[in-house]
Amino acid sequence: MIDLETPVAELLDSTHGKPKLLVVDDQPINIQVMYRCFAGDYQVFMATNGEQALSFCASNPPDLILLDVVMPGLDGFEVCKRLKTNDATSHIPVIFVTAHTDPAQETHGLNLGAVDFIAKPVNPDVVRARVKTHLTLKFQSDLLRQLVFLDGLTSVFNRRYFDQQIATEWARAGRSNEPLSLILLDVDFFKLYNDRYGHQAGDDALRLVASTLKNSLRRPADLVARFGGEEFACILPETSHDDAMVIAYDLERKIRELGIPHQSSTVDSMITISVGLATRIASSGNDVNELIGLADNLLYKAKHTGRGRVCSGVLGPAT
Amino acid sequence: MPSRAAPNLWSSDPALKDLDAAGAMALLDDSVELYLDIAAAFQQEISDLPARVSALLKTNLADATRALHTIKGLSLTVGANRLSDVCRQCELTLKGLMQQGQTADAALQQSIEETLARAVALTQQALDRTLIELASPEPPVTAPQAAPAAPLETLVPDLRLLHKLLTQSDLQALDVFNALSARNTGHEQTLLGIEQALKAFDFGKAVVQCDELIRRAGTTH
Repeated sequence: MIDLETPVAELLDSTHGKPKLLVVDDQPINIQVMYRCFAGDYQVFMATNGEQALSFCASNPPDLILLDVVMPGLDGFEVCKRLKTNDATSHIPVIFVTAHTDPAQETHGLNLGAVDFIAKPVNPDVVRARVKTHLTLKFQSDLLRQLVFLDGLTSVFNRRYFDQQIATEWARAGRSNEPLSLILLDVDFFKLYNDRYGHQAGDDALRLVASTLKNSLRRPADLVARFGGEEFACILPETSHDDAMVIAYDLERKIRELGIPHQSSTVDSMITISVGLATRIASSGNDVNELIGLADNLLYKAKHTGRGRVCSGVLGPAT
Repeated sequence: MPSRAAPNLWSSDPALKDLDAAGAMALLDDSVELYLDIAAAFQQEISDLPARVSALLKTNLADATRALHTIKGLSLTVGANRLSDVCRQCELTLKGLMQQGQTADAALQQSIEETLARAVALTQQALDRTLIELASPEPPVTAPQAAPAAPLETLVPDLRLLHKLLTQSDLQALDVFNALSARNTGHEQTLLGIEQALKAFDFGKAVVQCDELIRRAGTTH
């Protein structure tokens, strides 16, 4: 995930972690030449055949791929085709590097979705300049793609991204038999807060709550989204019910400890949250909406049993 | 099918050089060290090219074409322009045959093998001369006594780092290995397996070799 505070130019700077290049070529000499071309400024990985390249991209997606066309087994065109038809890898720019000089081959490669076509032997200055250009474009496009999924007020993910990710994580949990926990939470008496302190203060409070939630979830796969209004959701993949409980109580405590005054609340003199936590364990539940529904019911229960508290449950077995 | 007259696969371009090492090095950021490295690997790669292509011509034209295409590109990287051009001519001829659904007859097979053999021989001779010119002078005869090799277990931290990079397919493994070798004279034989696997860019094999050395270091500790 790109840090939205980081300008694109800095993403190309090694201090933010070097951009990752994957060189795919069946000839050691070509790999060596490419490595020497990029070693200083990039983290350079290699694959010596198409299958290896696809497997690498699935587990550790690079920022850009330099792909040979003629290889035994899967050739470069087929590798590019497969990368471009896979949602997880379709955004990775592919540059063909080949001894082909045939315009028809070049056109074919570009039609498959490659961004460029470079002839061997490569001129190091030219290939470095082209890679830099395509990486800049890639990082800009990554930023734009992320902006579509961000909530304008709080800068955490928006509902659209939540809907997409919860479905993905539900499917992943089904495949891996790992638990999946979901927290839905709501700022208590937020309408009264707005009425008393004004909408500007309400927006400030939501921003502070959102950033506190975001900073409290430390694993890269955990995610905070604005679910709607003053409601937020936290997706916690591969998190057991007990571990998620610890996180839920921690979130409730941290929001209370922010000490945002709320004199219209009957729970406390500070802003508090009500929390619903639902966990799917292996083979429980038939549909992702059951998990969301359970978390919502538990949030409702927390609100109707005094607010400023956590209610939790585990999804029942699949029918 | 009646035998066709074999085409002339030898370029008539008088400007074509058997070897343009300076031009190739310019494309390698003028790195003599890198040129020496890849030229040596290239020499090995082309040593059996005529026989390899000849065998493929009898069994699989597509594979023969792919082998020629590969050497065409590699030749340009080391500046073996003559050989690259011959490979290009052969590749074009075979592609033409494949498009027409034909196979390479005996005359064409012989012509390709002979032309390749001639180009490879000229390239090898030119490379031999150039590599001698470029190589560093021999070390003095009275070389200082080599220090005794450090215990194997002292290599383990570097081997672990190398192992990690290799499993990630990270090419920084090459630099880490070079540094490891330079720091540990006396362990050339110990590290030979990894060195050979790295030269072939067979990182899987290098990982196995690394594991083996780390295990051995553990048992000798």
